[in-house]
Amino acid sequence: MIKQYSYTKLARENGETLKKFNMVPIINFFKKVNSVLYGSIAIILFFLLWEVASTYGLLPSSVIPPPTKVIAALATSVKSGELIYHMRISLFRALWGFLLAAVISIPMGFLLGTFFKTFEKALLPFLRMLEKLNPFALFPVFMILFGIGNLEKIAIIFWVAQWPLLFNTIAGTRSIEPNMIKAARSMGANKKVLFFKVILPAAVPGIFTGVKIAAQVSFFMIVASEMAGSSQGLGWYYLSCSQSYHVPLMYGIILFITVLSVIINLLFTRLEKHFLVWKETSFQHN
Amino acid sequence: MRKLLLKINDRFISLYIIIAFFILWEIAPKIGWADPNFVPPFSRIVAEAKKLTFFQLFIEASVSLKRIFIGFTAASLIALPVGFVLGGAFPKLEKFLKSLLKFLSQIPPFILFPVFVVVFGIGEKGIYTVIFWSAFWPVMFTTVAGVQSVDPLLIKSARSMGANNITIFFKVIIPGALSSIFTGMKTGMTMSFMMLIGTETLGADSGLGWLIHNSQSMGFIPRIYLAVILIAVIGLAVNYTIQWLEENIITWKEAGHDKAI
Repeated sequence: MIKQYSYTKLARENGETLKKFNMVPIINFFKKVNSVLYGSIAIILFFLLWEVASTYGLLPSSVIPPPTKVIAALATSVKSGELIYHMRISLFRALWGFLLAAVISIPMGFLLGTFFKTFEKALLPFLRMLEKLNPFALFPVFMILFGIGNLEKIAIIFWVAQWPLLFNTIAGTRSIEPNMIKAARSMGANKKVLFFKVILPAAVPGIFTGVKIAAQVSFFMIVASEMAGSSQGLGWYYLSCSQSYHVPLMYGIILFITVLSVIINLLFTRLEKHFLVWKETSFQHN
Repeated sequence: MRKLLLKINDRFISLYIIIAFFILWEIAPKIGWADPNFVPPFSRIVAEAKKLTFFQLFIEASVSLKRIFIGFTAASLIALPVGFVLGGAFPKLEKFLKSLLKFLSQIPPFILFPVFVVVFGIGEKGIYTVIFWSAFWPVMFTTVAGVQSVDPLLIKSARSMGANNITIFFKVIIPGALSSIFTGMKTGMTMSFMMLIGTETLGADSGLGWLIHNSQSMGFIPRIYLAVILIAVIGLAVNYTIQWLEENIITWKEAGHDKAI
């Protein structure tokens, strides 16, 4: 008992000294750096192992080239500007489809989730059915309807990005406590106030979960749809490399696409977390 | 009587919209709202199915299902032990490898297909590897998470009652992790079915994705729609099968919760 007490006291004193010199952010920073370094060791080891295995003939280096060659091929492609050109086209298409989906689906989700509940009940199974349609199977249908080109790609991205946005917005508006709406209404809030002060803030975390998923899906699908039929973009560039049997650059583009999707993932996870934290703190204040 | 009718109406309210959609699909090309060459009426798609014969469609579907089955089973057979070992036996190794595994899992499986073709040659192997790759990561990550989410108190109490490691594994860890594993399997199955269609359109000589690719390059537009519907139906059937399995295998969780409450 006495021992336990002294430990807690010690811990408290330690915490106080830390606070006094304001060391907490610095320590947190070092912890973060440490964990990032610790995590990257495995990745570096993996690439080193691959390099060694490929150069010493453990792996067939004609089909699995060493990472140094892969990076070199990637660097020449970046220098000639080709990779950046195709990346910009892909990102442009994905961004337009994504923005279009966000502009249309989030308001739709609000309408369905709040004011037209019976209509939503009737419509939801149908929408779920459409969501389940395999996007790869739909590529030819989109090509028939829109032709091959920017319009078709944007339509595909719109189609795949709208479902997570729509369903997460509906789920977000559903997660509002009915008591809050009742309380606001009893205090004389009209529909406009109700929407902007109660429904919107409570639904925002759900929406941003949808935004994150939609961003990941749209980047993935733009590459896939460009592989299915296109004459520009990262997916087409990759496919043309594989057809001309430029193996190191193939691996390079895969690496590039993966790093890009990791970056997108991290960015939107940060965004989502930002809004989640905001929700939690607001709840604590309540 | 009126109540009953209202109840039936309530139950089938979602069906109305689906039926209305199909009716619209049938009518729209006929009255000129859509080009019948590009959007053929629904009846023509049914006619196309009859023309292709049920047998042919069954063969294509069974080829695809066989590929899914082999790839998915192989992925589960490897991912489950790896997940159990990483999550249960070597948590430090798991922490060390986590970023690498996350990085590898971020590689879109679909774009790996040409690489697999280069490495393994043209044929079934590339398709199996893509399905393996897309099913492996969700199953493994959820297995690790499931094993780590097992309450340590349960393990300790089982041990204090004299259970050895094998009993703990089969009686405590597996039941505790199973619902999480099933979530991963469902994700893996959805992913691998999606990727299967994608890879079959890229390079295959049979299967549902090939049916789409073939009819696209031959210009059989009704057949494309037919294949889309067929793929959707089979995808739903596969999903429901896994859900049914989950509900019938995991019966203890909810019962346990009820008792606890």
